[in-house]
Amino acid sequence: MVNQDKRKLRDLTCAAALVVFGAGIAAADTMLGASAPMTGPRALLGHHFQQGVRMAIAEVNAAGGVLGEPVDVIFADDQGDNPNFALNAMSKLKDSDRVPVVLGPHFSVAQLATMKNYCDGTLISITGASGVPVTEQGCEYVFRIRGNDNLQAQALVTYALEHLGVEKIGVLYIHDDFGKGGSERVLAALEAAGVEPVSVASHNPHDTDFSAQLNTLKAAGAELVILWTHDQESALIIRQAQQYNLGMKFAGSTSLSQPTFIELAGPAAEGVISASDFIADNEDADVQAFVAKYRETYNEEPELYAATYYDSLRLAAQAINDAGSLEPAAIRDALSKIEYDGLLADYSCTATGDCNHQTNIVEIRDGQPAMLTVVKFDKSE
Amino acid sequence: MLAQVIVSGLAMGAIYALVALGHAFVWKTMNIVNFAAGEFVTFSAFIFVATFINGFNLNFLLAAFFAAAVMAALGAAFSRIVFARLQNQRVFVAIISTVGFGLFLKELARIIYGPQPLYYDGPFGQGAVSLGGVMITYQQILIFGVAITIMVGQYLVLRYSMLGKVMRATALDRETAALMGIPVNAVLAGTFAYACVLAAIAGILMAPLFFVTTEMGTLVGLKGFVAMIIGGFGSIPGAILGGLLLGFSENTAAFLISATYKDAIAFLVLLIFLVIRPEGLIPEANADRA
Amino acid sequence: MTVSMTARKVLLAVFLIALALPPFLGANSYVLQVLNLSFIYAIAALGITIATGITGLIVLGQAALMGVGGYSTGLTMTVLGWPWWLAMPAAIVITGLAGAGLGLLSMRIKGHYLAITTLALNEIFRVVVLNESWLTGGPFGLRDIPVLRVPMLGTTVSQQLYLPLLIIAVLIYALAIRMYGTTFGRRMRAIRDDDLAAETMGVNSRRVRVLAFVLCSIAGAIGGSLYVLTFGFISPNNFALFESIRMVLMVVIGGLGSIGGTFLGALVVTGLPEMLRGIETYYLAAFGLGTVVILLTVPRGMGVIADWVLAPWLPEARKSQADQPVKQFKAEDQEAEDARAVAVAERLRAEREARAKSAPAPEARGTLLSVENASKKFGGVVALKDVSFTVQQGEILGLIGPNGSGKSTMINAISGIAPITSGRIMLEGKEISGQPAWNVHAAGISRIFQNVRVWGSMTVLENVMIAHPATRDLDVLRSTFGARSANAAEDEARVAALEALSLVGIRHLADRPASDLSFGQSRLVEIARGIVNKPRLLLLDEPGAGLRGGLILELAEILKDLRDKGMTILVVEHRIKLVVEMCDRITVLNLGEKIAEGSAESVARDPVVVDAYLGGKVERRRPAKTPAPDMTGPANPITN
Repeated sequence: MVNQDKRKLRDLTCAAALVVFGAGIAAADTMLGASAPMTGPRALLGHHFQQGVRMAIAEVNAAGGVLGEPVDVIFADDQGDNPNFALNAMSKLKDSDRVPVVLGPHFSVAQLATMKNYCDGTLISITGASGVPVTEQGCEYVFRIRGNDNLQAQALVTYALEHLGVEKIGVLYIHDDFGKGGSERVLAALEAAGVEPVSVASHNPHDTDFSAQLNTLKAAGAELVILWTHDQESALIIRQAQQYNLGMKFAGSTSLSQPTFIELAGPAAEGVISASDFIADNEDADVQAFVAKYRETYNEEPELYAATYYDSLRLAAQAINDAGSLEPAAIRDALSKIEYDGLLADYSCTATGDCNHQTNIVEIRDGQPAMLTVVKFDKSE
Repeated sequence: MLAQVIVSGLAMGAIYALVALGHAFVWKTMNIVNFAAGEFVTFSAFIFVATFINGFNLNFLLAAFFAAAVMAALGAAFSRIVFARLQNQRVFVAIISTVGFGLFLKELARIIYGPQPLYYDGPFGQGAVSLGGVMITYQQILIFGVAITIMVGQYLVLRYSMLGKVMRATALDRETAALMGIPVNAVLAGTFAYACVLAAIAGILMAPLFFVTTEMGTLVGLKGFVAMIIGGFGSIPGAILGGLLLGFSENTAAFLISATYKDAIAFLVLLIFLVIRPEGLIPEANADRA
Repeated sequence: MTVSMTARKVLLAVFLIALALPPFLGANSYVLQVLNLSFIYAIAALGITIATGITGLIVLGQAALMGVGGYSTGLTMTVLGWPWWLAMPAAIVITGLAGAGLGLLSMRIKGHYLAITTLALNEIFRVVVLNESWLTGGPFGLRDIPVLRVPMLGTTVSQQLYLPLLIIAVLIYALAIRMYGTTFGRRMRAIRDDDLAAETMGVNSRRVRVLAFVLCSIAGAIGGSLYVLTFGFISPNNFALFESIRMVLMVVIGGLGSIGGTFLGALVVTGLPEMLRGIETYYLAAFGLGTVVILLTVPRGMGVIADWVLAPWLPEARKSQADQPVKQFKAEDQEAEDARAVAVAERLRAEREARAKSAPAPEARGTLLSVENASKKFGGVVALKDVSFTVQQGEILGLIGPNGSGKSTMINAISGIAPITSGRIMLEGKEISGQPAWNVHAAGISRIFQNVRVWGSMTVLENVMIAHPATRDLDVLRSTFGARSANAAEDEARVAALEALSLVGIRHLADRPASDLSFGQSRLVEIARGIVNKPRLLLLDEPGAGLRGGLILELAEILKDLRDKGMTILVVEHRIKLVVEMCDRITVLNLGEKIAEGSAESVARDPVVVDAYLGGKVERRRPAKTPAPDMTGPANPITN
């Protein structure tokens, strides 16, 4: 009995020792980090994230790597929007793996939770988190490569008011960092354009029945509903609107051009307008090459997050090469001067770290996202 | 507009009622509240859509039958392996165990079927009929039909067969029931299996309404329990009434007051009931007051 | 094989020193951060251990309490600009108040209701925090909270806060263990094991429940505050339901009710996923299944290790019993037990006879208890109908009657657990009907139950100490922090409890867990528990039920001894023979009404009484009766 207890105790101390000393394995390659959701409800995003990065690694290495060495990425699971997991993932990459650059975390909440830890200059985060506050925290080591919510919302609202010929606009958003942050910008853009939304409704994550919200919007007479929610919820909302024969148009966030949304919404998705950083329909030669190669490599449709984090690695590699060093401060200086032509945009970073100043307006036609127009903003906006 | 919202609320209420019925049966015979009930709903929806509809390409009826059969078998097995052991435990041990078991089932569904939400069209497609300006989808009609059929059938069985008496005897005094020749273990396993079939039906009916995801059942299971409390702990007509009332009130309140606080409203209804009328709408004589 | 208490103290010291070492051994900040997180969660999860594990009140929403604490700290610091050492106590007060509210709610809502309610409140909390962004920052959380810095301890926050967090956690755990072993901890455990018995033995369950929730909230608040001060950021996602479930997991893996185990559980639940990075897909499923398996097969979980090491500070593991295999009661023990009982009985009889020679037994000195027109209805069933009788000082009054006559209902009514519907019950001229059971106990009425109701997880000594008045009104702060008066009261209760155990002849069992005892021994524990507060009136509900020859003899002698020492006894029995031997006077109940009263002989000859026992045909003195009340029905909370 006692011996057994002692043994258990010994096992425990061994395990503890493993935590203490087991970390930090040296590698020959130049190692960068990535904080991505690999498990949990957001694992699908992490799956695309990872594939995009892997493809970029292969291409960078084929072109000579980083500082003459092959580059590789250590992935750490942050479970998406779970602050505790993100804190540990970032801490592992920073303190244990000691990487100079981390791709991600992708979720704004995870960014905001971990920022205090890395902004002391120990590493640089290149992220696709679109929440406006991400680059407003006075952190000099975060770089955003997607258009922020503000930009997406302005582009979408402007397009809708100019081209869709609707007067009564309603807003429906999801109550989380993504939807709440986005909808605030939509409302601001509407106000700037002098349009009063007829109704603003919201829903909670994992909601499934939207009859109350849709009928509230309908009762207010909304002709167009601006949706700021995730793929799955968007698909349900649009399906239910069709079932109830409400006859409204929908426009909204990038979710409305994502493959998951198109698949789940089926025919109901036709004609839905969205603002998206990436679209496979883009005629740009680089995008076409990426799309072809992605389909060939993974036998899957490329989508926004694969492209975003593909870009993030290419950008990181170039910045390191420009800097000629793996010092975060040097890389940061290189990034703030960089002009790079990527899949999502022609990147050029502001002082606060916003590098993407354009977005695409997309419509779903015949079950495929089709490009309507590219909206470019002035860097200073 | 309000009528439309009420119809959707009642359809959801019928689903809550099915789950609440399962809770009531399990409570009556085993004195356990199964906090994993929602995960049984999730799991059966996955079995139904991913395995039988998409995997084996069966038609709706066959797939539903097999999904219900698999859940019944799983239910009987779980009741023997896990839940029978919880009966002699203190209340909080039993509750925490079923919470843990629910977590296990949910994660198992994710491991087996992956994170991608699944879409299923439903046996009659996604169309709807207009009834005096109110759109009622085929699926909602199916939900009402199935729910009413089950409730009537169940009432008749309990009223006119020995089964009801056997269950009641088992619930009241297990040892005496065994002495009277009632196969107590079979009754317990059977009841639990039936509760699982009810959960399976709820899952099957919900699948075309929404997508099949690992999160789909969790709140439904809890709200089913809330519905049972509102209706009267362990009361069968109470469970049905409680389910419908809950579905109706949360959707109406979401429409009239605040959609964001919809789930909060459901739980607020619970709190109001617990303070004002803790015995529920249709109280049971043997209710759990502890 | 036993390991001495000193050795265990050394082991604990080694463990704590080892925990303090990582920052000095050059562990990187990642490792330190994971450990920091586990210390923070260990504190928060301790709240669940206190409320659920020790008091038996289910809390499935601890993350919300942690959140209230976290947001209170964060908001007072950012909005009001308070320093952390003001913000944290404020957060503790605010969360404690929330906990008190929850505790008051738990008066009405128990068991399953409480589980779903706490779960619901967790969800409501999250939705409110998410929505009310004007105050809480909404989904993006509170971002500008200053992080605590202790520059002399290292460069990174994780390094700087490692030792402070560890020390705070260890201190809080030490206090919790101290509380566990003193009067408040005993009362909490008694409520968990059997709340009815606890109330009857003087435990104010209302106050204990509310305080348990307050302590649970305080633990949550400290955890939440420390989280905020360590990471400078909180969002609604930090306090989702999943986080509550994670903390419940820590408690379960640590062994429900084991304080030390919770600490280990927190280390495992926070640390293991980090060690197993790469197979995260499976660990949640494994944790879920693990919860069920642990609860059903090794309910003590990691508490097995923790409680073994902490044995010097845990009452039920004191001495070395914990090392011995649990002793099952066997036939040969039964015989030894019987012999012991006969010996005690003979000693008591000899003493009594010696006393009788020197001084005659004291005479009755007036009315102690009077029951006036007491009626009790359960729904439509009348269990007691207009019953009146008195108990005289210093007598043994027998209350007899056939099954279903209302005897136990009468006892329950007097002891305050099933208040009468009309009429009143007076103790020395003061009304006690309508008072909660603990006040009745404090007024000097003690009881033993028909079905033995000892608190199985507590030691025999603790079982008896609870009922002693010296520690009854000690509050949790004084008993935990060991004020001198509190320690004196503890000692007084301990001495008195040991005396009571000596009186009933089982002092040698004092440190055994009550669940190890035989039925007869448990009954003796109940008697010791019943007399330790020197009650004015002792209520006995079929004390002889289920006892064998020797123990019955012993019991009868103990009762006579108590009577000789001035205690008044009301005993319920349906075996007339036993009653006739023991009692000075007898009151007879039948079908909820008093049908006879008087000396043993007169009652035994009364034809109405005889007929009541034989079939009740004689109706000479009264009109037609109401239908027989069903006293064994489910409506009666304490069945015969």
